[in-house]
Amino acid sequence: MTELPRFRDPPVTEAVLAVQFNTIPLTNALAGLFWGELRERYETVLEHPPLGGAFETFGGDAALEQHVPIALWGASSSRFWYVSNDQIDVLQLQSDRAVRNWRKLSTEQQYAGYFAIKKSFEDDLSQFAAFAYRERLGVVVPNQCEVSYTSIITPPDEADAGKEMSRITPICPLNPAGPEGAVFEGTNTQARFQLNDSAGRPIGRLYASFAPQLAVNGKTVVRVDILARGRPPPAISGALEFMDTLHRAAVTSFVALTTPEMHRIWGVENGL
Amino acid sequence: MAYSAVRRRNDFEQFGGRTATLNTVPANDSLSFEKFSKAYSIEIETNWQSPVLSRMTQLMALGEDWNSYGAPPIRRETGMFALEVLEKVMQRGTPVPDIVPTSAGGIQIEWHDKSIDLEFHVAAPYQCELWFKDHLEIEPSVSLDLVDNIAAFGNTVAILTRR
Repeated sequence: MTELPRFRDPPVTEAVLAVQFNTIPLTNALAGLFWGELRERYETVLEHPPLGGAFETFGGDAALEQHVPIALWGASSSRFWYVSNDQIDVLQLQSDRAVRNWRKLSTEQQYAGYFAIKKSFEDDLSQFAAFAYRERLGVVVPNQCEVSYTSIITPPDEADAGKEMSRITPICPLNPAGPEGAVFEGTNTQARFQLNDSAGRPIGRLYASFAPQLAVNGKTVVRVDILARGRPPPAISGALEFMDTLHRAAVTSFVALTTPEMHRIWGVENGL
Repeated sequence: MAYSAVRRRNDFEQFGGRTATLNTVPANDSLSFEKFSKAYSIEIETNWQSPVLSRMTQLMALGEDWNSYGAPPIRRETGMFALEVLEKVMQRGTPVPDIVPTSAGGIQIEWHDKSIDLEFHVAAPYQCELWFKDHLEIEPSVSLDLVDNIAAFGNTVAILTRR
């Protein structure tokens, strides 16, 4: 297997690893009890509405955009954010999902790297699975995995990110034609790919989107979201291994969907 | 994306998903009641999510032994998966299906309409069965186990929708 590309200064601002599993009866009280086990590492807990389910299937007429998943939750369900002492890491937990977020909170902060993030997620997920078993909530059986990255890209030479998206990604045309007399203001774009195994069977899907945003300093930047999702083997160890496949897909697609000019700016280290 | 834990700012102008197109009947088409009625019912039938979600929510509330014969409750992931599949196969004009719980804890989505019997049973995520019978015998019957490829279900829903 070929080595994955590495950048000295990657533009990633958030990395997310997630495992969706068959629902277990995690009540708010039990989530509080579990927090007791985590509190040395996660000193803050926050409550949010739960996320809906997401399952990748094939052969249907799926829309290009990801739809907002429909939630089938009762009023008493919550999603908990256990926030690390340095605020960088968040473990999100709800009755059918565990999510690890790594966040870049300052410009000096270096990207932690996929394998470090995955290791801490693995530790937390194993601890939660042991808790669920001990509290007779059932076995954690994964049914879907995700790896996603958000990057904020500053275009080179003070370029207008909305108008010159083609300098960032090859999937956006340069100066697309509009109606006569119209002035091109900007564009955003989305792409979707089916992920296959070595035998050509579908194993998941990858979604990519490029969207201009106004940064706090008033300049336009491009937010890039890459999400890879698929059905893992129904055990935590298998799900974590499958996550490596999704990670590879996310990284290689990020490289394929961004330009060599940007790769040079981010300091590509192993010669693309 | 949906699980992001970073607050972001997006100042780009939004159109809220609406366009100025009114989707009107072409000017050279006559506005007969039949055409109007058909177009009107198609508009209504695209709105399947609301009754289906309402029915799914009812099913999620079924407790242990809901049929008095020891049936297990319907698992949430089974309902989520069924909704996800419907999202991908339902078309403009597809009739709203009946949704019934099964004694094994699954969900059956079914249509008995237009001389077609179409049943899609979800036992659990990625454990589905499809059964299709055309009583006019124009289309071949189908009986299949489905895992993650739902093309056959999409095809049969398309046949039902077109008829």
